[in-house]
Amino acid sequence: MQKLSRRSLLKSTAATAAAVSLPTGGLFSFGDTALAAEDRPFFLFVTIPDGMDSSYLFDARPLALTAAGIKSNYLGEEPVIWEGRNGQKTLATALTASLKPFRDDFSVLNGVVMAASFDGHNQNLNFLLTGNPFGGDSFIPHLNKLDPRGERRTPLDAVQTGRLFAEISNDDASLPLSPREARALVTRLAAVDPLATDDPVYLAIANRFRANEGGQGRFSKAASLMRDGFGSAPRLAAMLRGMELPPERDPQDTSGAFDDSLAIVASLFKAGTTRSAVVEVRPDAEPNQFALLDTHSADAARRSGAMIGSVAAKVARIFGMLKATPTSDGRSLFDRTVILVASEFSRTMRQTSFKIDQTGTDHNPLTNSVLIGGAGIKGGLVLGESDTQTVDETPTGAHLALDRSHLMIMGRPFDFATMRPSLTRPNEYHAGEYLSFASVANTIYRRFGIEDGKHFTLERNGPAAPVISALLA
Amino acid sequence: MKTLIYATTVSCAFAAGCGRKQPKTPTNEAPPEPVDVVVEVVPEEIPLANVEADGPNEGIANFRGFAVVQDLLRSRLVAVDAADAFDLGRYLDSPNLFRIEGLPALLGVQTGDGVTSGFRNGKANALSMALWHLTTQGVAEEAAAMACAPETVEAPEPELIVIGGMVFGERPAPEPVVYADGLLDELRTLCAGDTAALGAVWDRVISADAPQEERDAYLADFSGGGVAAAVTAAGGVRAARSALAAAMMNPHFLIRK
Repeated sequence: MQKLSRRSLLKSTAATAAAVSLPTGGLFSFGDTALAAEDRPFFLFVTIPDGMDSSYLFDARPLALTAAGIKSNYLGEEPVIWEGRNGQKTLATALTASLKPFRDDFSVLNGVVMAASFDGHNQNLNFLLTGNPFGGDSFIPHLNKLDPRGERRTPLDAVQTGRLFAEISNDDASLPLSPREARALVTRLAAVDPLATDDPVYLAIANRFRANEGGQGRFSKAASLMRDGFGSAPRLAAMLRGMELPPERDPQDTSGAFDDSLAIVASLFKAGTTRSAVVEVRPDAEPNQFALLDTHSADAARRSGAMIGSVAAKVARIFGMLKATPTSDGRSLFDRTVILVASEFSRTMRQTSFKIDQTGTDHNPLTNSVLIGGAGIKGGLVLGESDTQTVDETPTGAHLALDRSHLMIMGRPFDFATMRPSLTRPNEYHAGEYLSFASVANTIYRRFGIEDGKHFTLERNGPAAPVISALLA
Repeated sequence: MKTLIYATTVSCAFAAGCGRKQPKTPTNEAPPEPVDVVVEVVPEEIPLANVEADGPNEGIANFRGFAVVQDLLRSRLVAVDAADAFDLGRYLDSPNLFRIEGLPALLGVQTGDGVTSGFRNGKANALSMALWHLTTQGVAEEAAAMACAPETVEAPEPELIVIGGMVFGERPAPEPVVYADGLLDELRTLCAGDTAALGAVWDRVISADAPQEERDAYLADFSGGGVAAAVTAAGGVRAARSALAAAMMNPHFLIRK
C-alpha cells in the first residue's frame, strides 16, 4: 500500500486551487464599485485619549455618593436614567444631551474591564488594540484581510488622524494622516514623477524586482513583495492624490482640524482607499488652558464637565457626519461603518488624603464605557454594569483583591448567556466572568467575519473571550 | 510562484510514482503479479496553517530601514563637511527631531523598549513602495536640480516642530543640502545626455551592495536600447533624476541582507 502524507496531498491540491484563483492584477481590488458589491463594512475607531471618566457620560452616579465622600463629581447635577431598548438601564449625565438624537444608533457598554493588572495608559491602550498589555498585532488591520494571509481588500488598512501610543506590530499599511499630513502628502505626490506602469523608468525599476525574486532565500522573497507592492503603488498613489482636501489652515490652528479630519476620512472611505480610520477626539481647551482628560490634579478634574461635554459633542458630530454622507449604493456612510468610541480606561472615584471636592482622579482599568454602533450592530441597547452604584453597596472580594482601598469603580460580573449583569459576588477575580474589552474586539471580529482563531483570549492559551451576541444584528 | 512550481513538481513526482509498482527482478524469474495500489492519506499532526511555508513574516528579509538608508545616502551622496544637514525625513515632510515617526516609520524602524523592542514595517507593500518612491524621487530631484539647474532650487523653509503628531511650533530653515562634488559632476554628465556617468552613479549609490550582473542590468536599462534609454538620451534634469532614483530603488540597496 502506498501512502501519501496529508501535508503533501494538501499542498498539491492547494497549489492547484491557487493556480486557478491567482489574481491577475494587484493584490487587491478597490474602488466604490467593488466595495459596494461586498458586505464588509468600514470601521471607525473614535479614540478618546488619556483616560476619560465614564461617570461623566453614561455611567454616572447619584450625588449621594459625593455627599458621602465616596466619589467626586464636579458636575454637581443628579444624573437621569438612560434606558436601553433591551430594558437595561444606566444613569446618564446632562453631557449626553448631544448624543440623544442618535440614541437608537449606538449601544452603551458599561463595566468593561480593561487590563486589570496594569494601570498605565500604554498598557491599557495595548490591551484595547491587541488584547495584550505589552502590545502585538492590532485587531484593526485584521479587519481588512480575508484570511490570515489573505489579500488586503483596500490598499490601506487604516488611516489615523492622531497618534496611537501603543506597541503595534502590524501597522505597516496604516497611514498617519492628520489634515496637515494629508496636504503635505498630496503636495509631494503631485510634485514628483507620477508612478505610472507604462513609464520607462518605472519599468526599469520594476524589472529589477522581477529579476531578483526568483531565488529561494529571504532576499528573493523580499524582492517579490517589493514587486507586488510596486505594482499596486501607482493606484494607491492616484487614490491619495485624489483625496478631497479641506481648505488649508495655519498648522497651529486646531479649531477646524477635527472637522477636516472627518472630511478626509469620509473621502477615503467613499473612495475605498482604506478599510478603517482612527480618529482622535480631544477635548476643547479653554483659553490659556491645556485640556487633558488625565485629571490627576483637582484643577484638571474640576474641568471634567466642560472637557467631556466637548468630547461628547464631537462624537455626536461624527455620528451626524456619517449619517449625512451618502454612498453610491444609496445608503449612508453610517450604514456602511461600524463605529467604536472608547478611551483606554476610566478614572478612580477619588484620591486618598484629599477631600471629595478637592480631589483629582487616577487611572482605573477596572471599568470603562464603550459606545458601539453602525453597520450590523444593534443600537439603543445598554449592556453591562459597574458596581458602587449606591452609598450602601459593599465591594466584592474580587473587587477588593484588585482595589483594596475601594478607590475605583469596577465592572460587575457579566452573564454572557443572558447578556445581563450577574448577581454573583465573587471572592476572586476571574477575567472570564466579566465583560472585558477583549469581548468587544471579538464582537467586531465576528461582525467582520474574521475567524475565531484570531480572536482575543483572556489569558495565555485560554479560550477566546465571548462575543457579545446581543450586539449583532 | 515558487510554491506553485514546487507543489506541481511534487504532484508530478507523485503522479509519476503512483500506480503499479514493479520491483526489479532478475531476468530468469517471472515478474510478480501486478498489485493494485491504494493511496491512503495518513493524517499528520501538522496544523493546516503550515501547508504553505511562507507566512507573512517568515523567512522574508526586511528593509534596511529608514535610519540606515538615511545614513548610507548621507555618507555616499552628501559632501563630507555638510553631512549633518541631510535629513531624509524632509522628503516626506517629517524631519527627524527626536525619533523616527510618522511616514518615515513606515519604511522600517527599530522601535519599542525591552520586551516590546523590534524592527517594524520592514516588509514591502503598496504604501511603503509609494513612500520609497516619494523619498528617492525627492532626493534625486534635489540633487539633479542642484547639478543641472541650480537657479530652480528653492531655499529651505522653516520647519514645523511635530512630536507625536502634534505641532509645537516652528524652527528656523535648515541649511541647504550640499551634495558631493563628484555626484554633481556625474549628474551634469547625465543632464547632457551622456551615459558615460551611469556606472559612476551606480557605484556611488550602491557601492559593493549588489552583484555585478545587477550593475550590468542597470546600465543596460538606461543606455543603448534599454527600456529607459530614451529618458537618459534626452538628457536634462529628468535624465539625471531618473538614473539616480532608479539606483536608490534597487532591492539590493533597500533590503537588508
